[in-house]
Amino acid sequence: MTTERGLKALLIAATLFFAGTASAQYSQRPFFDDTLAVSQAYGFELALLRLEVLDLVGDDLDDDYLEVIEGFDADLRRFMGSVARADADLAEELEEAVEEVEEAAEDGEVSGEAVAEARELLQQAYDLVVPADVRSDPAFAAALIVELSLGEGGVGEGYEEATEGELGAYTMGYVSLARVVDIWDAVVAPAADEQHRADVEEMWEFLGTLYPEATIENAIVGNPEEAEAPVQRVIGLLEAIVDAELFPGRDLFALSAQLPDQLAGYCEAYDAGDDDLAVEGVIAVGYLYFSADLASFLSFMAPEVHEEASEQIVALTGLEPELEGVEEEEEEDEDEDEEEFVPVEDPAAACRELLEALQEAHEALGG
Amino acid sequence: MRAQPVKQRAFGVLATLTLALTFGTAVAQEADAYRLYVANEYSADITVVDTATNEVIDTITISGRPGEVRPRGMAVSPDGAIIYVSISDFNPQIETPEDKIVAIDVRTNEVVGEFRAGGNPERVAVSPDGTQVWAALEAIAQGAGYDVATGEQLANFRVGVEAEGVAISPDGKWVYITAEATHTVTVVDRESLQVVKHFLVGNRPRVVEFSNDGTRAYVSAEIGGTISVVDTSTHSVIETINLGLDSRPVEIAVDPTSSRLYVAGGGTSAVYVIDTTNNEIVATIREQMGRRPWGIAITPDGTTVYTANGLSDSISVIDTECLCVVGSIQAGRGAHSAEIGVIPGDD
Repeated sequence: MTTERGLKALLIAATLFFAGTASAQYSQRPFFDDTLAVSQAYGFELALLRLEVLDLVGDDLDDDYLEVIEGFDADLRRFMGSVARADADLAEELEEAVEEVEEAAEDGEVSGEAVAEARELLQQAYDLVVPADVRSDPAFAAALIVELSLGEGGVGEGYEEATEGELGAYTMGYVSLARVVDIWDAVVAPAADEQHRADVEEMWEFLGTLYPEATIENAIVGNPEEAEAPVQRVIGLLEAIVDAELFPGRDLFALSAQLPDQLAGYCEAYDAGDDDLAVEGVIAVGYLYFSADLASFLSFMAPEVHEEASEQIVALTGLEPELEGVEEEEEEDEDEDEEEFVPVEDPAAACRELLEALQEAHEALGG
Repeated sequence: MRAQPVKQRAFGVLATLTLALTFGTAVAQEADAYRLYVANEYSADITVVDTATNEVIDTITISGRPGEVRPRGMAVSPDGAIIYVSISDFNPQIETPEDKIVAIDVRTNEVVGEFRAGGNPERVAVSPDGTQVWAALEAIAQGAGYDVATGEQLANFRVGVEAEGVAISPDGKWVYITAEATHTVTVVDRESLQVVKHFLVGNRPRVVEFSNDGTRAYVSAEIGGTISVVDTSTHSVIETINLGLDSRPVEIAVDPTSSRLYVAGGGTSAVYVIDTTNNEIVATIREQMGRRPWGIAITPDGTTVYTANGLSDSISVIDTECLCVVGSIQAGRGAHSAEIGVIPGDD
């Protein structure tokens, strides 16, 4: 059982497999064609949802919710470069407003006024970076539903972490569910036929039973993946409704070809000294690398390639990937000493190394 | 039924059963008499159906803590006397005493053996001679083999992430283990106990089954919406059958009497019927199907297919002549997988 042997076999098998199966059933690919915009919108949505959590919890804020608050930094890195480029004053105001909310929350004194101001500025920035007409596209909205359902801070994760006693994550899942249902109602449902609409709404109803109230006092006992199964079903239905590919890892070969192509542009941005903008792109690419199973695949079949890619993604973005069944001990260690993200000293060089690793990943898949 | 600690005595019982099977003395059955077993994930029990009447004749309790402990994959010993059931809790991160495979004597519903299987065993397969059980251990990305007579683990191997399905070739030579997150199948040589290959299949592979002659294996890919056709002489994918991205295929049933393959399509609440001589879909059964079929099994005489429907907590009965649903049977909550065995003798 050697990895090298396995990889050699894979190279042949992958070539044969992908040569014979490249096909597409859906005409749109928001995760491929709007990678950056989806990532930015996801960041805005998460930041807005964190404010929603603060509103809901109010003065009862305690340690359980600190992790929710700590997420602001990662959310903002997804879009602040673009906000600053479009409106430097707005960017400055927004950063200050969010910082004020964070500090107040950490002190256990949430000010409704500060939350409202941060929300208003976030919404302004959101409209500027990802205009409403983009967000009103059903395929784009469906991609956002996917992220808010399956991604970090989403419906599935919130429930899963609630079974581990993460009460803040539960509330985050609760507000995420309300938000995805809103997006569904406003943008996607009008495009659905009667049967699809009934099927999706049945799943929302079921998910509502898993999230009956905004907060819980104790860990949930039960299946951590209880929310993920209906979410997966919803995504399958959304694909048919909006005619869009919503599982970006469905075709790993195509994904592995796409990521280095996209990253090359962001490495050029680093070379040009436009670090804030570049990091948004690397986050979008890096998040897809982890969330769409490419990381899992490579960690098994070409671990040295995965190690290099993940090291550079973490160094450039501060993303904290979790791969089930992989490197659990290391992840636990990392969790123990959470530190504020400090960008790597030479991001342009790190980006080039990441690019090389992603190109090797594509080669490992037969490219 | 109450789970019991592993005891040498229990494995003595299993060893006796296995020997009886090996010498061909325990398989005297009526041609049309089989038992259908459906594992119900959320009610933590197994529905037992008499296929002659399509009536539920028993419910085997797996745990008194439904919602905390769940049965998933099953395998039936060749003589029909034992069902092996993968049992786990719902927390893949922590290894607990609930993570195990139990051997249940279906004549008494007593646990006659347990195999320690940390890491959320998901599916299980029994070797054609009945002497070994192999399992896919989901949480720890391993495949493991166990000696039925002694209960000892023979070997364990690193496989892809989120190990899911497992099957043993009809000649007993190969063990195939699928892994959901890495989209791979790992091939183990059962004699040398070595991994010989990992290969890619469609996205989110679930279940693998071998053809009756063992020359092909079929792997369902839930997100890919495909069945990968594998040449078992080279362990390579030679063709991919596209069922549609919304099909969400899970379990596969190979018809023992013909060239047909039946696939449970959880996404479309359909059963896809494939002719394996040309790998074409010859029929799609939708009418009166239960909702979200995941499990599927076919009687050894090839006349009837059953699906375990997770969203409607039911079992659909399909006549393979008309390729139509002819009945529905109540299952437990969260019907997950289906297996069929012969009715065991009195021993």
